[in-house]
Amino acid sequence: MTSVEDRLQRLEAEMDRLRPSLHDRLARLGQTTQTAKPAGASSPAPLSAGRVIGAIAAVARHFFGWMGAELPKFLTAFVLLWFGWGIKDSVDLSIKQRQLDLSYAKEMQGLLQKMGEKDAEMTQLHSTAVVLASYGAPALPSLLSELRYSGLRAEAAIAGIRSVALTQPAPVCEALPRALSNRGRQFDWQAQLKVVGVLGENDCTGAVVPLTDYRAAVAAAAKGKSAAFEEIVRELPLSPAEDYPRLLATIDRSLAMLKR
Amino acid sequence: MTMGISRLARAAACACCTLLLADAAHATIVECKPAAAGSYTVFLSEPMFPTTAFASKDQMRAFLQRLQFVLDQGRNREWVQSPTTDVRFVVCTNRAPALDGQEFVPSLIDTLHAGRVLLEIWGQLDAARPPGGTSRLWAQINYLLVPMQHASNLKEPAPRALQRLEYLDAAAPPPGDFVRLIARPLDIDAFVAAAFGFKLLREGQRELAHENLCRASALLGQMVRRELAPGTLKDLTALHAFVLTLASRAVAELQSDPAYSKTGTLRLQHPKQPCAGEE
Repeated sequence: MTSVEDRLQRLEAEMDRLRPSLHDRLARLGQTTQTAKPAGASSPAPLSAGRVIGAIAAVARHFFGWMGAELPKFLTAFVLLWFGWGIKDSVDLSIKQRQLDLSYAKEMQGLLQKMGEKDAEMTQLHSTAVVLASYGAPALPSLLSELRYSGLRAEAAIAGIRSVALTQPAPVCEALPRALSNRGRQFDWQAQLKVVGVLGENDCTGAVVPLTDYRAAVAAAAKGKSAAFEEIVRELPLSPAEDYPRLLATIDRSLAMLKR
Repeated sequence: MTMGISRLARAAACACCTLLLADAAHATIVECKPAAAGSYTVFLSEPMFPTTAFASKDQMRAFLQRLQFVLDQGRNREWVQSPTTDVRFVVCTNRAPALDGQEFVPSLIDTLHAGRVLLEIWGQLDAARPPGGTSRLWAQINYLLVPMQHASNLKEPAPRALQRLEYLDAAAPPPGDFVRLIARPLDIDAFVAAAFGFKLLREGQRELAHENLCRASALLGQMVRRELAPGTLKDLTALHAFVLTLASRAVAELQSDPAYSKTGTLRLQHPKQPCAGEE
């Protein structure tokens, strides 16, 4: 007789010695199942909302109890994680934008030096301003700075600003009205005349109020009361009888375009 | 007949010279600052020239400086100015517009006009040296009347603003003096008086405008009597007529202005003959 058979015989003997016996236990389990079936025969009862909430509350209670004093730390960490995840993209974007602006500024420096060259030729100034304009909105401060110079540089600058406005009118419309109200007297009336034209051409509806204020200052100056206009323009026109009507006509044309 | 052939040969020589110069020189417009605020300015830009006219750019610039001196200080001006309306000549170094003036776009004219620039003068110079003969100077000078061009850009009636005149020095003692060739005739005075008169009229200084317009009319009247190319004559005649129209306008506006003195000299002037007694 093998050892396996010995083991089986020993196991059967152990089962025979069980009280109640294995057969009795199986028979009792069968009876219990039969008696329970008629009562729950239809279907298992659905979970009500109350029971679900109750279950969740129980889990939460259990969880809070389990966390104990560590709970506030955990909640703080969770909130920080959530907040960080939420702003991560916009911060990344902002940093990248800053880096881009910085690299643009370095690249634009050479172009600005070219515009400031003594005896710079008109076509060179224009082409440089248009290349500057290809940087889009970041080029606006440089172009506005060039607009402060009268003559060919201002001509080139306004050509550049017009180029930017073709693709990105919003930043142009936001930046230009300041040239009409800047009390630093950085711009001459000819530069302002060009600015007025660009505002009208590009549907800068937000510029209606600054244009109206500017018109009031020019109209007063045309009548001999130039105090308000002197505060915002570098030099008064050399030929008032000719220049003021022209300036007023340009403002009116732009305002009419914007109110259309 | 001989004169006709000579003129033909000269025209052919000039045409060749123009082509050569157009190749040799590159038109450039650089910044040129008008005279001090309050003054009216005439720009003297650099002319195109072959080496027969000037050996170097420095020589040409020395010529421009002398021209500026002669025009600005060394002669009696034929236009009329008051103590507050001074006309000054300014040399524009490195500024050399194309012969057809194509760079004078409206925005550039606007800038010039607002800076009270009346006239821009440039062109081309040449000196022909026939073997064994004395050198003969030739110049083609462009006069851009800025107020007229400005009016034209604004779609207002105006004559051709770019006037072009040729000068040939038949016997030129001392030889090679382009200043004498260009400054001697009263053409510059005529154009300055015309542009100045128009600008003053637009600025509301009618009396001074009238005086200058009538002076311009008299000088232009002399110019159209010269032997001129048909195109030049036509342009000058139109300018002359325009100047007279402006003078009439000045008289009419003054006479209808209640602020104008009752004893003003122009009260008796008939607007249809605005320059009677002054030419």
